[in-house]
Amino acid sequence: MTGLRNECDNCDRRHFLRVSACAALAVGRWSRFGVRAPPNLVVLLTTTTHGTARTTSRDLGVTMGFEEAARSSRLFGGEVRLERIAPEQLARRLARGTSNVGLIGGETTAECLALASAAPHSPYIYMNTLCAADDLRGRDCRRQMFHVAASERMLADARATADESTTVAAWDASLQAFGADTLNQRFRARFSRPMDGDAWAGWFAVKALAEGTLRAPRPSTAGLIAYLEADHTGIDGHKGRPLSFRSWDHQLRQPLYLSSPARPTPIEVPHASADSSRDSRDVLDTIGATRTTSTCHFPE
Amino acid sequence: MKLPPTVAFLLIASAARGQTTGQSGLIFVSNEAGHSISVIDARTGRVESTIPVPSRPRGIQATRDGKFVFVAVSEDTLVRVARRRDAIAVIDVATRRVVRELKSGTDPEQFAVTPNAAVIYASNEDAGTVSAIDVRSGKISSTAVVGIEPEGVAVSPDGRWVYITAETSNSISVIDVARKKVVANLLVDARPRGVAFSPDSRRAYVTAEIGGSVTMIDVATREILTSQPLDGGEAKPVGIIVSPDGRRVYVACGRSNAVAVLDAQTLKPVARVSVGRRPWGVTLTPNGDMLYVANGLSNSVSAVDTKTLAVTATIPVGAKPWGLVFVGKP
Repeated sequence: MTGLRNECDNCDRRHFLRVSACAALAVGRWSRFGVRAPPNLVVLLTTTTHGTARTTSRDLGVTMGFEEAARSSRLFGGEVRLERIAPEQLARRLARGTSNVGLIGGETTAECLALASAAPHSPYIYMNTLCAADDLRGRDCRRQMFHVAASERMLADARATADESTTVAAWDASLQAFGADTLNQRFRARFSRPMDGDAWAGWFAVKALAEGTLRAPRPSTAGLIAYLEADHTGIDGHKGRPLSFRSWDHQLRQPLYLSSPARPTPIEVPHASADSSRDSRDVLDTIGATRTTSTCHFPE
Repeated sequence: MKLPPTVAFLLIASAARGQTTGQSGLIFVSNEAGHSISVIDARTGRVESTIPVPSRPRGIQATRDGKFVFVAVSEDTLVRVARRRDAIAVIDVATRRVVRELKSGTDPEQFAVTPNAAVIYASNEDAGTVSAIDVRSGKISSTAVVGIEPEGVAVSPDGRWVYITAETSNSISVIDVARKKVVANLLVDARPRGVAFSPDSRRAYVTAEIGGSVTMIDVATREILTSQPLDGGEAKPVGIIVSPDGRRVYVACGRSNAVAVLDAQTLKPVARVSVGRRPWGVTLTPNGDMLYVANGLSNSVSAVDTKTLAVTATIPVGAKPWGLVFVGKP
């Protein structure tokens, strides 16, 4: 439960459009149980010279996630910035981080692992959006690495419930319930293309970072990590259940969607109606590595 | 309180025989997929007329004198903006006809009417704004930016405050009616949907669909007083209303197919009433004796006696009932 609030005399449209002015005014009035630093976040998105369909899609999701997070955070006196950065400049940029820093990028397992280890002595969180490799959640797990991308194990567990022509994705542009329709409409209106699983991952990665920045009891990367891995945390990804990261390997618990040419509407796994009274975390833990099968030991 | 299956079956069986609900008045029900308003005679528990509306109706409210019902109608979301006919339709209760359409902002979903019926505040879901519509002139007098995906709107009974929930931003924006602007934003649990004030305007109650909770706010200090998870956080609470005596809060819990009854002071659950599938809108008679619930996936309205908490009738209405409002007979 949070008591976060912002008393802003200048939250009307005129000031909303004048972004920096409103943010500055709002920050001065921001309060939560007394004085605290404003809830600011910097999102670093690595640039690439060899963009693929997947990175392009993910980066559009990040762009929309940033625009929405900036707008939502501004209501509470917080600021979100997005910086695109070449991988070779990353270590130096991370070394001068002041506010919460979230890093997004990478497509291959090697790239994702390199970004998770880019600056061992600088506080930041790496949000893995495209790499499914189980080793990143096991042998190579990192305290500062969180996985929005579904793991190989989760994808295999979901696929095991269907026939071979089926694809598994973290999102589907035809989803409707629990605000999925509005998210799909916003993405389509913004980019004139449907939101796919990679775009959703980029969008959600920024949302999770920004929401954690607003809600974490401590305004630091350590505080943000503690918030994201806490058992009581639940973030709305427009998938109908509160989403959370498994504390043992930082994998996002989330429903996946099976689709095939023969089926107009995707099937949700685990299914939405499964054990409606059961804890969402328990239901979502039926796909992927469990606490007992996980091989992750976070290096401290 | 969960009813045993046999009791629930008997209640449904009695409802099917059209048992009366004992109240004098009308219940106007917006049928989102049916593009119509079902008008239920509360005394007989039957639909006495059906009013066609131009497009998808959702939020529905009545003036205090019971002469007019307002309903938010929005085009299907695939209709291009330039061709949209988004509006607040005005229904004359006496003739059961749409007599006027107030131009709203885009995609109106929920709205609230000031106690003097002078201004309607409507959330514009796709624009992330709230429009204040002057009822007399039919013009939008001001527009305020709120959180992303605004949804629930409520005006405090003293007419001083408007609270607007925003589902993506997890926010409540507070509009000062006299100053005509947003004066505060509160961060609440995930996906806030419905909001309702206590009759004395001192408390506001907010449902969070994904947070699975109800939050109580002190209106004077704008502090969050407490948050109560329902069904262990799995209930998907949406529609909410406070009893006229200020002692109970009724919450439609979509996934639980039930209405949670909470103590308005502590938010502790005191009972649970099983209704139809995916209950959404809720309304009460002015004396608080009867509660009506729109069951979105059952195409029905449940009538609940608030003294016994028994479902006294289940009334078939149009397709996908969304919201409903009770209008006393003049």
